[in-house]
Amino acid sequence: MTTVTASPSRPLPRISKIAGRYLVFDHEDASILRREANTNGSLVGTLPQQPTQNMFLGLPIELRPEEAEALVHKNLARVVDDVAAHQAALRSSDRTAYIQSLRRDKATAHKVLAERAAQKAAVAADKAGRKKSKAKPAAAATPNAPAPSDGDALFASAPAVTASSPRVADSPMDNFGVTPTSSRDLISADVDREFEVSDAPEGPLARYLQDGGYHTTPGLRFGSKYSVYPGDPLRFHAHFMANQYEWDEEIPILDIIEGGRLATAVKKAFVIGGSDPSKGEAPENVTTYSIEWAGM
Amino acid sequence: MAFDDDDVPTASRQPAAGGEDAPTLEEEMEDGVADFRKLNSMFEKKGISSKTIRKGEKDFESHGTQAQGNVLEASRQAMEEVLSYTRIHRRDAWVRAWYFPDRFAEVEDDDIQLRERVVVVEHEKGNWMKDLGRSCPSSKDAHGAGRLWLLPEEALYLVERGTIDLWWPNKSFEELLPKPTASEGHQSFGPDNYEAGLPLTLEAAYTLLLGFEGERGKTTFSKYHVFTHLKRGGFNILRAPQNPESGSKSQVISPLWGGFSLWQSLFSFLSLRREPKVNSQGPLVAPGFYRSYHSIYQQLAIIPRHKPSPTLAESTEPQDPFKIFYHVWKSGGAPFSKRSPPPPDFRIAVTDTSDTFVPDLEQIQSLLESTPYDPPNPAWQGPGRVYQRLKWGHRNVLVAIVDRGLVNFMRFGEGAFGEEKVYERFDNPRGGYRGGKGGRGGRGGRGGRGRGRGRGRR
Repeated sequence: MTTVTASPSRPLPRISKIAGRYLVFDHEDASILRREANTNGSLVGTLPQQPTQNMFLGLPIELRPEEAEALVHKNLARVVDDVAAHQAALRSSDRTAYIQSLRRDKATAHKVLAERAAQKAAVAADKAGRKKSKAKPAAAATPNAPAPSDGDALFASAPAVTASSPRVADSPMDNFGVTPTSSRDLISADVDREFEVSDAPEGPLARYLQDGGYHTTPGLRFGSKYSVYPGDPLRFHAHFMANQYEWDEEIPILDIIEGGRLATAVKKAFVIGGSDPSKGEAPENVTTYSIEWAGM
Repeated sequence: MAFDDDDVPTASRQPAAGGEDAPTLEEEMEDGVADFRKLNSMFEKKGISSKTIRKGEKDFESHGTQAQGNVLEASRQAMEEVLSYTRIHRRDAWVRAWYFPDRFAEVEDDDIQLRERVVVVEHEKGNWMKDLGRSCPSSKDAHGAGRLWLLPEEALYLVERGTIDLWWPNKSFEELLPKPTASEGHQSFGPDNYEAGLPLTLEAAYTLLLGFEGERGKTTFSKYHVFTHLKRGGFNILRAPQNPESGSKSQVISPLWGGFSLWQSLFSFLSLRREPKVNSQGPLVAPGFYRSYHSIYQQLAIIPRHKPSPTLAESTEPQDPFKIFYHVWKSGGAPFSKRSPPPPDFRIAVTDTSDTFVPDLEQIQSLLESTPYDPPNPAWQGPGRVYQRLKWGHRNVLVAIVDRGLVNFMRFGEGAFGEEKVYERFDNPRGGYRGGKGGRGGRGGRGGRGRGRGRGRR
């Protein structure tokens, strides 16, 4: 797999706003955000490859509103009102680009499956009779040839389908349905631009952490708002548990003790941060303090 | 010192002797960050041993070495590869569904919630139908009678797991889904016929099926996350019926009524009669001659206690979000029927961290009152099971708390501390409070020697 990078030709990563949530559906966008904007978000979807477990989840990625805002503020991503954009796109008459992309996916799927079937057939043929070495190229060349493996159920069933409904051609296009994950090809660039929004609530600490190159994940497991990582959470431990406060907000001393003890117990520091409204805008006006439980 | 590289808890954790070398799933999930390299290997089973795919311990921070960079890059690429998967439906297993949000918009609420059902299934294939979808009765829709209709969360879940191919219709319902009887001349629209409609992307399905609370034909993100979380875990799940099962009410009654065993009541009757009258003006415990603790404690109990009861006097209607939304059944056991489901194993209300707080007494009470009376197992007798009884409660409900796709479940039970009279044990002839030594100790029957029922027991 090749690494995707943001390039001048590629539009900014697209964040879909649906019912007040901020989601990323495109896997390339997700990868750009993770690699270049140190934002990983949380995977919330069911993985189609492995749908009966809760350990590994798939796209979409959900971002916190203030995370999305921080990205928009730094011009690293854009937010689109996805419901309106889809309504416009689905009701428009021009769908050729989308249909083309679907057919492209189907052709790819056909090729991959044919190759796989050929491979299996070859292996099976190899096993069946090592003497008949010429069975191998023959099977590879014609994937439709019946082979004693379960992998080509698709091709075995194709004639039956043809027989029952004469309209169905035996083309790869009619053998597959495709459900793309993202609507990249469905929504045209114009429509996309038309429905851009920028109304995500601002979170000074989120901006500050994003600007500082930190990754964050929900801090729920350790009793704070954010877990803060010095790099990609795939590789590094979190350093801080962070909470945001208003500049003049009174912080109960128990919160400090609680946060400090909890974070220290898991080898992290407790961070509090707030923005001083008299000193310009976030992230420049944000001040943070880290607190550790001395345990004396 | 907190940030001691040598002292990171997971780094120092060595596998137990004789144990498997690979870390456990719990360890993998530390911080909730999954190791996608491992996942990938789950699909591509190419004989990689668990040692080679084992995730290295995480690092404290970047130290700029190429080795570290390569490990991170490998993790990222494995993850990207998993996420770049496109859902492909092969013709033999192709199940198409159509989005028809307005077909039942005018139908009033009924027991199968037809009004909320916005997706109709064209090909009914596969074994996922045991708890998903309901057939439309012919009284509601003569043309599409018998078609399977899905709720928004059901449809989206099936799209997401790659089971159905959801289409946006370009033609009318009647054209696309003719009556099955009219087989002659019936035109079938294949997967490449984009005149008939347009396959929807996962993203488009999200925009059509998820919305805010109260939007017809859509569900909320938190309810959807709870639904998928449980479906992925193998549970059967249905929306709770709108007209709730006739609940029952608890009431508060005087504490002087207690559950006595026959033995105890005999005893206390004897002693009660002889004891001094309680004076409404005088001391809490009337002066006099007492032969048992029981009568003293009875006089001390002046605050009415909550007493759960199977019947309710009156109840308040539970309000969202503290309202039962899903009924859930464990998998396995008898075959599940969505038409006439057995009593559910769990009743679940759904809340979201962004807009709810801890419920107040009124909310939790009306929520509990909407569930049926479910007292502790009668087999849990005796002082040894006090905590088990209290924990179980007399009614119970699960509240799911969703934080960005992360689902937590909290169980609320109607505890009845007033029902557990600890003082009754003090007069127990079988040893008990004072130790149970001497001749009577062995007669207990229940526990035999050394199992006094006093304070020492848990």
